[in-house]
Amino acid sequence: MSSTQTSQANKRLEHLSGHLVKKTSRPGFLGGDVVVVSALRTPLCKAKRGAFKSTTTDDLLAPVLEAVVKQSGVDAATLGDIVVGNVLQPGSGAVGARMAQFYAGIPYQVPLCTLNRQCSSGLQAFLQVAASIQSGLYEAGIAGGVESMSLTDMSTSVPDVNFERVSENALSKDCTIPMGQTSDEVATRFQVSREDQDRFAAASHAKAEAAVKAGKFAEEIVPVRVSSGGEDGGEDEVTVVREDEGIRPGTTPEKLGGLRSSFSEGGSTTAGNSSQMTDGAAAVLVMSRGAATAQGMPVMGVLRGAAVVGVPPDIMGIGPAVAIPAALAQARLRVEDVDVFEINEAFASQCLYCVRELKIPMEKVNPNGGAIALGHPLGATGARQIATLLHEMRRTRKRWGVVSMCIGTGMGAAAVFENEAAAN
Amino acid sequence: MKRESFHAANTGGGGLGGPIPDAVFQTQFQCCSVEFSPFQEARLAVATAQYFGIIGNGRQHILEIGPDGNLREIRSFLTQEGLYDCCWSEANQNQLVSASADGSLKLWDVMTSDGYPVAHWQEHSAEVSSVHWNQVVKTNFLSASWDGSIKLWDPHHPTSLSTYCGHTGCVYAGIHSPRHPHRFLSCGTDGSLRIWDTKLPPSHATSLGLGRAEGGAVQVVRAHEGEVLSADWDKYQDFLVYTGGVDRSIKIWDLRRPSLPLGFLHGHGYAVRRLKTSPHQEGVLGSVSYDMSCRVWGPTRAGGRAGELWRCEEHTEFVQGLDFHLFWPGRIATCGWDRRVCVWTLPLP
Repeated sequence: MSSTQTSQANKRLEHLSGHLVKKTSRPGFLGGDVVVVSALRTPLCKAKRGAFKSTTTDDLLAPVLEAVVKQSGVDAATLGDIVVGNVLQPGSGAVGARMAQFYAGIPYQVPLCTLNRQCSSGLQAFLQVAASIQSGLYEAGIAGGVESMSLTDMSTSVPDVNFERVSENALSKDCTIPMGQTSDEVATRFQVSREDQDRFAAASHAKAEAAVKAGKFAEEIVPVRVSSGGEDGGEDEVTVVREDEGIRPGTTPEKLGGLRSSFSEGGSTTAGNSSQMTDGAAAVLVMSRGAATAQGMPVMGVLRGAAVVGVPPDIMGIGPAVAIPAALAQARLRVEDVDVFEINEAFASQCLYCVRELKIPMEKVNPNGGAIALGHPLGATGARQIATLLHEMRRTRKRWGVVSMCIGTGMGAAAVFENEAAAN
Repeated sequence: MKRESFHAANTGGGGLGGPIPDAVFQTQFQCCSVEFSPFQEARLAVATAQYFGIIGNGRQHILEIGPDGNLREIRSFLTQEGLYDCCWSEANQNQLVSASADGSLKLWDVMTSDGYPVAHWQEHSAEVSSVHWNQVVKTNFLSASWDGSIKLWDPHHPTSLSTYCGHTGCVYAGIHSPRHPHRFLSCGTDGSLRIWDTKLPPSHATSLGLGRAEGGAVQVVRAHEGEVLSADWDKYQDFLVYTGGVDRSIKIWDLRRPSLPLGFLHGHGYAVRRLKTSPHQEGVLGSVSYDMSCRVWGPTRAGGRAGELWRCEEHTEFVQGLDFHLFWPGRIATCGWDRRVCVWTLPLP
């Protein structure tokens, strides 16, 4: 065989093997499009004082599970799994979530699990369902999150560990730094001024207020029936909660400027420029594209890339600045290509840092407000952001969107979605 | 075609319970393409390539279904390199063109007394993957090549009439529209489906309001994430096109709104190698795949979504070729790397 013949043969062989190995633009995934068919959330209410202050997580989660099933028309019996994020409940509230599944009328044949990757748990739940669909474990699943910060205490989330050892290891010691203090650290190290943080926080409230006035959340909110009373021996009252409670109309940078530091002496992080403690839940119905189109379901968004990364625990807030580029690389996009970002406002300091670091135009970030105004129900936030993002992209006919958040103990997560209806 | 009648045929006989072919022919080399003659209902052409088309010779077979129902060879032509595709002339019942791995095209006449082509063209700089004759104009045929171009030919002309560039990577098919004399589609490695108009100068980028234009194509559709190995026009609705890809899916496109497919046909376990639409039934198409199956798709109930209607897994290697008989509704042929050509009768209601 001549050398030309050999190289020709090799070329043809390479050709053929290319047909057998599925080339995908997402090297981490096995292939096949993962699509969101429905994404909904409860109203977000203030912990300890708000409408959900006595509502257990099963009562919070059930309505969104039921609503995504109903809205999509999916036969619940065909669901392969339900994955629910939750941070503060013991065991991430696994038993309560299973009970919520049954309230929602989903058959026992559909399994359920809960997980905890801190503030990203709702997004992590989504990524787990997405990966399962892509690896062919099933074709449809629900990813959700729920948190009652009223009925739990962040102080009880101190881990039961060998503290002597913890203090001997720099990184594990950094995991004991309160979140607010990491925010101060980010602000100092990366020079995010108090004034800028307060301005950012006031804008969050203003954007959320405008969104509520324009009825923008109407499509994504599932009303929740709550029974209250009974404490003083009175009758139970059932109320229907329909509105987010955290938004403070008329918040100005000046008003916020008057607040004192919450976490460290002279620190710039205050209660006003941090996310609120909130109760809420959200759910996302995720399917393979084949299953969705076979059942005639509309595709709200297509997952195009995702990444979970690790960062130093003492500046955990920089997570999105590392996770977003990693997720965009998978989707073969640049920051400039993205139309809408939902970057969790754990703290104005870290959110602002990430926006600046990635050079994202501010008008693309949290156009309907973020956790500073709406609240941050830890385990639910990721799923809540997916709902808010996809509804916004659909409403405004925007094509590319990103959900991202920082994660306590030093991580970041991000996912990239495409609204195909907006392509051409 | 009702699903029930397909099932009835599927469960009748055969060692593995699948459908049984009407006739089988064993070739010497691996089969790459099978095409029924548009003139003689018993005749078919099979292009073959030695050693899976990777190296070695090629052979163009002309077969006939005899009165006993068996396939026999009328003639065959041996070539220096493998043959990846063939098509019958629409103008001369005895002539057909082969697409060669060496970049050449050869026109054969079954009546010649020697083993040489009556015409030969060497213009493509890489393997020719596809040849397709224009059924409306009848004096033109197209070739598509791994060199990224599609060429338009007149068999009486010593050189190509036009060359169409724009694809990045290999072009796997160039198929004339069955209704519009001047329109053809192409698909290839770059994942795109392109629509071309032979009345336009090939390098002139214009927009005809159907979509964006790129380097001469009238329309460029981002069809699949991976390579598109095959495409065909619907023979009943001129805006409907089907594409089949390495991603195992078949997608249905409405060229008037090409941003999203109308639908998907999922089922093949490996790349879809070739698909063709039925000349007899609207919305029906056949596909063959590296998963060794041949499947026929169509509406599963009146006015319903398209789904799988029929399947056979008779071939024991990648299936490469497929054709619908032009005169006998329900008759199809398949051929594959197992060196077999099979003729089937699909159950009809």
